[in-house]
Amino acid sequence: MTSGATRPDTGRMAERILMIDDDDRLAGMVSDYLGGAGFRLTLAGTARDGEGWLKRESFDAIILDLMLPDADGLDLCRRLRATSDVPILMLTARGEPMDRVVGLEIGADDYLAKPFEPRELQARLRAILRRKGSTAAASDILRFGRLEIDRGARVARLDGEERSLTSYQFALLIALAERAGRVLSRDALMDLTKGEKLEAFDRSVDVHISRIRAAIEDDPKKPRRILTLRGAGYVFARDQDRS
Amino acid sequence: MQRLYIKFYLTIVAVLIVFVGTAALLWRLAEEDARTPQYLDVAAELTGALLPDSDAAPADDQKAIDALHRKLRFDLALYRPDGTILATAGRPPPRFDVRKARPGWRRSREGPSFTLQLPDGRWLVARQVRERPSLTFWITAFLAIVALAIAVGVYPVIRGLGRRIERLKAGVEQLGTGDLGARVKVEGRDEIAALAESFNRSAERIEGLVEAHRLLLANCSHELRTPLARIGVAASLLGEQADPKTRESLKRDIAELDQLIDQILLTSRLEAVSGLDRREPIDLLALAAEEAAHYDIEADGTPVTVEGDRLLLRRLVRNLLENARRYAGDGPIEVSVTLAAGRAVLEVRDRGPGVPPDERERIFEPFYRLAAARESGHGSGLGLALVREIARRHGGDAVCLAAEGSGSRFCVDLPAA
Repeated sequence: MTSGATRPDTGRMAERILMIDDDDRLAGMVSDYLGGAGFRLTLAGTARDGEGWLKRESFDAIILDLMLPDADGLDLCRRLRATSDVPILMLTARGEPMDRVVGLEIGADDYLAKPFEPRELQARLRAILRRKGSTAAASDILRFGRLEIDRGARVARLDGEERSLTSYQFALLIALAERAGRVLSRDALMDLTKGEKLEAFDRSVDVHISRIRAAIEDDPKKPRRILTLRGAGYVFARDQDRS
Repeated sequence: MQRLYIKFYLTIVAVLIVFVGTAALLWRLAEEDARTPQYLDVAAELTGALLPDSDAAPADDQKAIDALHRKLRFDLALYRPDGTILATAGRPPPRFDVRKARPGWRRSREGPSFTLQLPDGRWLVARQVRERPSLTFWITAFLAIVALAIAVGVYPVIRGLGRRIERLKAGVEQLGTGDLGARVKVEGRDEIAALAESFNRSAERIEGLVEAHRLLLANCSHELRTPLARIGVAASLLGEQADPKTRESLKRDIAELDQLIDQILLTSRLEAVSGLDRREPIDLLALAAEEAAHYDIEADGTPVTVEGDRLLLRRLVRNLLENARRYAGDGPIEVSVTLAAGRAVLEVRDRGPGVPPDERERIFEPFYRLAAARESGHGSGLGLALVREIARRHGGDAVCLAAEGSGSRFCVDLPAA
């Protein structure tokens, strides 16, 4: 079964995605959602079915469930990785922290836990597709849920869309993101961005932070990514996009 | 620790020593009786009678003494009544003191000797030519050598037995520390081997059960989350068609269910393992701020680093905030992290109805809920139990304290890194 349609307003070819998941109702809904976003999905309910599709046709990316009726998703992932470098996004309901590491170690490009936000699935899918096309080293990219910071290209993207930041703001964002989960005082932030040319007049860190928030937060009034700590400074959240 | 094999071994050695000692003693007593040398008495009497008269020439005396020495195989010495020597045969005579001399048998270091005063006042001292080592000595020596051989031969056996018991003990201890793959080698076919075998069987069974339990939980998680994922995607697909309020509440319910599954899984996982899976330095204030942001609360305090499991600590903070939000509604909630005497102190205060003093301990029991919560049907009753469990696992504790004014105040202290 194949479903989905190209979005008329985008000129590019629809990317072909193979989704291997035994929950066909979920797969159907995901297919509808991603179809609306310009992907073409092919659905397979079993590992055998999925491998059959892969023999016949080529895909741009694979969405793979960890638990399949006829195989373990990790084994399948390892098998696929041995023969092809098509990007793989693992879906799982296990939620054990180890799974994440294992999933990535065996060659999956990304990982998403059920239940997930379709928006996040789409963002991650876009990210792994883009990474495939670009030569940017994966280590240059910092990912925090829907937010992606490409240190090589000096670009920040939310849901795959570029967000504009000045070069000082980007340096500030990187200083924060590289130390996610740690409180940084304003002085520490000034130190970390000392090399950057301050194009502004005499703007405090706080002003720049609020500009960055405007660019990368869903609601700058209720920040979830860059948090203020009264009297202590700022902290960049490690675990973002939690429902 | 006292070691079993040393005890065994020392017991055996002690038994051998006692045996050899007793045997030697018994033998010696028996021999003493048997040796009572009446024939020596007769020989001495005869010797006295056979000696030449006191006025005979010393050469005759010497001759007679020599002849007797050869015939009787006795070392002999003949003294004048004043104690000076007349004639000797064989080994040089022992020191002779006429003032102390008494006729009869005497034991000395050189062996038994017989002293006799002849009717004319002369003294004759006779000693056995050469006392061969007695039978007692040989028997004792033989028994001692046998005992030594037994002691040497038994040592490796006892030590081997001890080692096997020690290996068994190590296996049991390994299993006790949570390594369910621990097995011991089955050596031989005795009781210890049987014990090792039954230990292995038990370990096998425990491992199987734990694995089955883990699989069940993993499957549960999968089975529960599959429909949840569908609902989530469906809610997102509703998009703008749906009333934003309905959509939000749907999303919240999904999140709540997801959390509940997480809590149940975490609770049973923590029951299965002791200690922490991983430890890393964590900025507790940053972590609290991150969690608080999800409730639109700004945390304050000082950055304090603690060593711990990030996922567990995150769960701890989240549960406290969830608890505060549940009871305090939209009232203000304060979150702070401070450093006091080497301890990181996390405080969550709310302005809700608070916890009655006599329930401040009980609320940390699993599935215990305040009366108000039971009526409203909110909460699983697992949240605070997990908070305490996680805190204790990190070498700290969680308590509910009296708050100034209304509301409740939860304090978690953890050792600062």
